[in-house]
Amino acid sequence: MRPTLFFVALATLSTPAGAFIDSNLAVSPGAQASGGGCYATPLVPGLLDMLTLVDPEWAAIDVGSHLPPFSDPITLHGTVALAKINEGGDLPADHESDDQNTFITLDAADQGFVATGNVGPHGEDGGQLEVEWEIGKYPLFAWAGRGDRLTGVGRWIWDCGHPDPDPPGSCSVTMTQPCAIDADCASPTCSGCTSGETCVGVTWNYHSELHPPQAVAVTRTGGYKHFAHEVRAGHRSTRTDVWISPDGGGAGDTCELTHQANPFSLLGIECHPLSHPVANVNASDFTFDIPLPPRPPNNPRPPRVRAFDRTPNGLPRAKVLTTFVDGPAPTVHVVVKTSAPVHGRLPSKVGKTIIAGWRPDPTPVTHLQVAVTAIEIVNALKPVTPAVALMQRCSVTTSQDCSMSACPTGESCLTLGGPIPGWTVFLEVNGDWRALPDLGTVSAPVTVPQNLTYDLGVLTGDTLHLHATGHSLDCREGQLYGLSFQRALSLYGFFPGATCLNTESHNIGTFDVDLAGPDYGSGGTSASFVTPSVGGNGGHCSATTSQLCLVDADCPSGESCVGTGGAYKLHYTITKLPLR
Amino acid sequence: MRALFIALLMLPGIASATGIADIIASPDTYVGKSVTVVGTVENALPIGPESMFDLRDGRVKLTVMSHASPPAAGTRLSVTGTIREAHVGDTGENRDFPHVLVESSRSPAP
Repeated sequence: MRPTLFFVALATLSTPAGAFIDSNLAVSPGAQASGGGCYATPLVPGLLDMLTLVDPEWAAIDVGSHLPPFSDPITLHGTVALAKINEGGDLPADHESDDQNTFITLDAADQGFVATGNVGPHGEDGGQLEVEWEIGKYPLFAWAGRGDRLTGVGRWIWDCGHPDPDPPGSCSVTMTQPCAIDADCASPTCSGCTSGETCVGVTWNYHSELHPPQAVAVTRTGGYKHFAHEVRAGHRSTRTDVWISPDGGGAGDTCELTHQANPFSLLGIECHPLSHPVANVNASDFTFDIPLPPRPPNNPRPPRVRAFDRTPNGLPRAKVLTTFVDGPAPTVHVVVKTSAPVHGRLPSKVGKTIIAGWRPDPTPVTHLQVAVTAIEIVNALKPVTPAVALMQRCSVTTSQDCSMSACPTGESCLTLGGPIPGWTVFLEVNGDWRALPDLGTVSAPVTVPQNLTYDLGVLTGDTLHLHATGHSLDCREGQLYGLSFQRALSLYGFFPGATCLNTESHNIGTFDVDLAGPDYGSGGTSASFVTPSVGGNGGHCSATTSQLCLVDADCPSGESCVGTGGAYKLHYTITKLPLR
Repeated sequence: MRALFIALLMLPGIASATGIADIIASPDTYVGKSVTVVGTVENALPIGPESMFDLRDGRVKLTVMSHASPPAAGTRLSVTGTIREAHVGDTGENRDFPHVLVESSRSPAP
């Protein structure tokens, strides 16, 4: 119990709407009631203490009348600053796939969802709020791009893994002793402290996030039309892509979100396959407003609104109701009826694309095509010596080496460790995201042909924005996602398992290009580019400069790996076309 | 005489210990290097036939990864091993993980 923290918590709860929520609340007694809230480590933790930070890794900020980990979802609105994947990867034990991170600048009315930690000395996102959804749970058509509007419904949580006590507190009596938690003010950490001292005055910098969402609506403004099950360049419109799903991966699973009294218990708990989502998308409909482009002069007609279904095959297709709301800033109010059965079945995963605009609308739109023809892997970012030696183990009888003898009936022989091939690269053109295919076997420099075409309509004043995010996989992401600590340790053994966990993916560098009108790089007709990524991992050996490397150990004895980055080049052509 | 002194320093068990506080203060200095540290065992955790445990020296502690079974909590040990970096979670938000000591040998300490 920390009295100062308690009173800070009370004071913050009475602050007016719109003020940032105090990150100290994450570890307040009120938050920790019934196993809620976050749990912090000593000021100078050991590695084992870090388990405390993921026990749980995400805690509901306001459980309301529920018991943790359950909470009511919130709805927030904002403008997207950046969307990307987590280049290094994440903790596989509580993830089924890497996180996609969308950084949002929230509307003024929603600033109360932002925490003091989002804007403090550890607010790397500059006061923005992150919306995080596992890549495997979030289809690319609904990923956002810079400048898009986003409405999100989901879990408003503390990111417990990043407490960042700064400035630290001091012990209540021995005030020269810095601290983060009360244990820092007791023996053996503080030999001079008196019995019963507490840690007071610490400032925590936990971030608030929407993690995971259960529904998003992403609105972009450009020239769109729906054609043959895909969106192409058309007249000025807004395009809103909707994805609704209770499947939030680890961050949305009851088992993963349940606090354990002893964090070491996490090493023995099996939550996979995840089967207890906390979200219920049928409890209410998903409602949001679509901003319309400015009404063309002398056009008294209502807007044209068309909704296209993108629900996975075989699942109920929720109905969409749209209502035009006229005014100085006209909008379309949308209700996706997830609470209503469709032919007797409630919707679960729902996808929609809604195109709204005025007809006629004479606003000029420039029709562009971006054709990605190849990705040239300059440095595959693969270590010469794999982090974990290749081994084969039976799927159940995990102690059995199946390279020597066949597994018992019904078991499979798993290949573990060894070289980890593969890259993952996502490329957006003005918020239209695609995954570059055929990169799963990349293990050496190679040019992989691509056949991706982005067809888009750009409005005067907008730019053509090409932006990629990705990484070169290594052991953690290549092999451990979806495996609990227990399963991973059982399969790999302690040291190889810990080594694999410790071997994160490698940064392939930044690719972020803006091209202005009127030709957007096309030269008026068509132009081709080969653009290298900037920064990231990898380079060449210090003396044997023709030899590529990821780490020093890849180079001849006595040499080091000189970082250059630029691990790949993208080959693409920009073409300016007449609007169809 | 001087050579004998240096040779004695290099013998196992006679080499001077590195302070855990020194490692915590500038961990990158020690990455990949062999060190001997002295401390009291906390949080001894068996993992199959192997183990992890914390070694505390006053205010600070260092997590040890060991191929051996865990020592008893409260035991005072001298542990020799190699300092390694840890990146076991998401490092995209500038999270620093504590370094670890991979044990090669241990012996009782006074």
